[in-house]
Amino acid sequence: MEYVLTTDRLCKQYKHFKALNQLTMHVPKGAIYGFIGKNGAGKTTLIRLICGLQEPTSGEYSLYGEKNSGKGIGKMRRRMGSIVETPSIYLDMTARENLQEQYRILGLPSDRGIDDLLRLVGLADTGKKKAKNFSLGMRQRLGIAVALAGSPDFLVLDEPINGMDPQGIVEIRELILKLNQEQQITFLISSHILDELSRLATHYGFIDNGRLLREISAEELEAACRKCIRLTVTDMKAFIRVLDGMGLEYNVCSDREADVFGEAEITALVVALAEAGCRVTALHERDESLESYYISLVGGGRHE
Amino acid sequence: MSKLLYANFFRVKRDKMFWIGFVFMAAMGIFLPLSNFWAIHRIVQETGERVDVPLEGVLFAFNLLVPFAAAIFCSLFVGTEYSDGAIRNKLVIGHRRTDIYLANLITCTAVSLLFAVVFILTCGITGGLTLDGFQMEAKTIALYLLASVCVILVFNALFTCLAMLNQNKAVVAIITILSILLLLFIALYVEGRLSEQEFWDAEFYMNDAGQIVNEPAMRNPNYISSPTVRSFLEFLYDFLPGGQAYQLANAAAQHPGQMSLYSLLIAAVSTLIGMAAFRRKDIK
Repeated sequence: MEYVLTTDRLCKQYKHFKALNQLTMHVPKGAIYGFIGKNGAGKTTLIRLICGLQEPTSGEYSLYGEKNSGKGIGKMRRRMGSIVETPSIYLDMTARENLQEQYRILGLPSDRGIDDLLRLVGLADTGKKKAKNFSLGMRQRLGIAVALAGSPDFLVLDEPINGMDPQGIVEIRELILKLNQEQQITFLISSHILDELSRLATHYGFIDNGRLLREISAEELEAACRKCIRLTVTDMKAFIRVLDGMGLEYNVCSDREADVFGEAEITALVVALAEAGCRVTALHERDESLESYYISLVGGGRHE
Repeated sequence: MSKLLYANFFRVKRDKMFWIGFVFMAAMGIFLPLSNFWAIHRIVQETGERVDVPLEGVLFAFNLLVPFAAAIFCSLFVGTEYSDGAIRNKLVIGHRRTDIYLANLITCTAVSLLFAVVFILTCGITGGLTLDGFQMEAKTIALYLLASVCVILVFNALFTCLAMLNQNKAVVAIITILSILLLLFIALYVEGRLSEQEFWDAEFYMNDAGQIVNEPAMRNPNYISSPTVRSFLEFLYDFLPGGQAYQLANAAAQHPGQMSLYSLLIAAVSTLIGMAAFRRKDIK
């Protein structure tokens, strides 16, 4: 598998605080990689390192196979765009002027494409309004447009939907999906809004205290968070006998609780258990979400 | 780096501080010769004596004005890159830190030179119409101009170093302006010490008893008699940018060629230190 970004035991120390601790991760080409962690976990620190804003204390990372210490890293960075914490825009310029300035920094010969970019992020009608008079959501959109100015194929977005209204969130989501599907742009997105991330990401990385706890694809996560029915029963031994007899997949959680997977017919199951002398005292459907998976992960719970 | 310079100069063109500085220097280039002219005119009217006011007396005054304009412009121009986060765009897409640093240094120096040029033009025209011409030789004028360019370069090198290493533009503006004042204060102090006479003149006066008293000439205790100390102070006066600016502004520089070399040395060292520190700086 080809990776756009790999990190190898990356460490970053600020005086007495270790922000990143032997972090190793892999962002596949074409993926939307959701980077999840609580405040202070190290997400922004990692993004700062891979964007070249800071140097690692130890360890290394590679962009398109080029190591951060290599001479060609500058050329690889040309294929990147990013928003790190806050949008990087000149507040005293209009949206168009900001994009023109970014074009000059990139060395692009003409302003072709600026109108398309402004339309893409919904800022085509801002006219002479300066960025300092934009709302937070508008500034975020302009930041995305600036990040897209160089036609990158790897976009790093640090909390891209911060401060956006619900419609704006949907538009950004659709934009990310569109760019990923139509232009095969790889995304690394850090976000606290797990529900939104769960609609986007093809891969996840869970970080806590500077360490990567787990990397998992969306398919693997779905398998780990399978839908099931949780039953509370009076006789676990009888329960096990019945389910083995019915050929149903199950998992015993405790001496009174168990999860049943697959498409089980509830009536037939309860009747069979009653005939075996096992009463069902509680029953509810469980559909583990990304949120509960993350909470159990950082809380020390294991998902095999 | 050409892309960075191109982008910087476009920003300069629409920067309010640049145009304020530009207009200010043009206005000072008109005001200074005119104020000299009116002052001399009043003296001539009072005394009837002719007073020569050579053009070089005002033409190089920009050496005291440009550092202040440069301090404000540099701290705000570079500081905006940090406050608006725009410096991140340059780093993310792969521009080298040394290129970013040098592009900012070149931009700020070019703006300061433009301020100086506009002053020279307006002062030259106004002074040419109201004052006497040059009394300096052409070679000396050329050396003065060269030394002035080097002074502008060294101040911008120092200010760029401060601005690139500190993300707070207000703090940088205060530090740069205070540093100019400090350098000028040191220059004035050194100049004052070097100018002390060796002897206080003899005095004749009448005492209360109506007698004429003759106070002989006395040795001035503030006079620097030690050749080593005197040499050191003279070196300091020529070496420090404040001393150079003061001497050039008063058309009193004794060693403009030497001063140029000192300025280039300070500019080179501060730029190398600044670039090395910026390369290791964690950008937040």
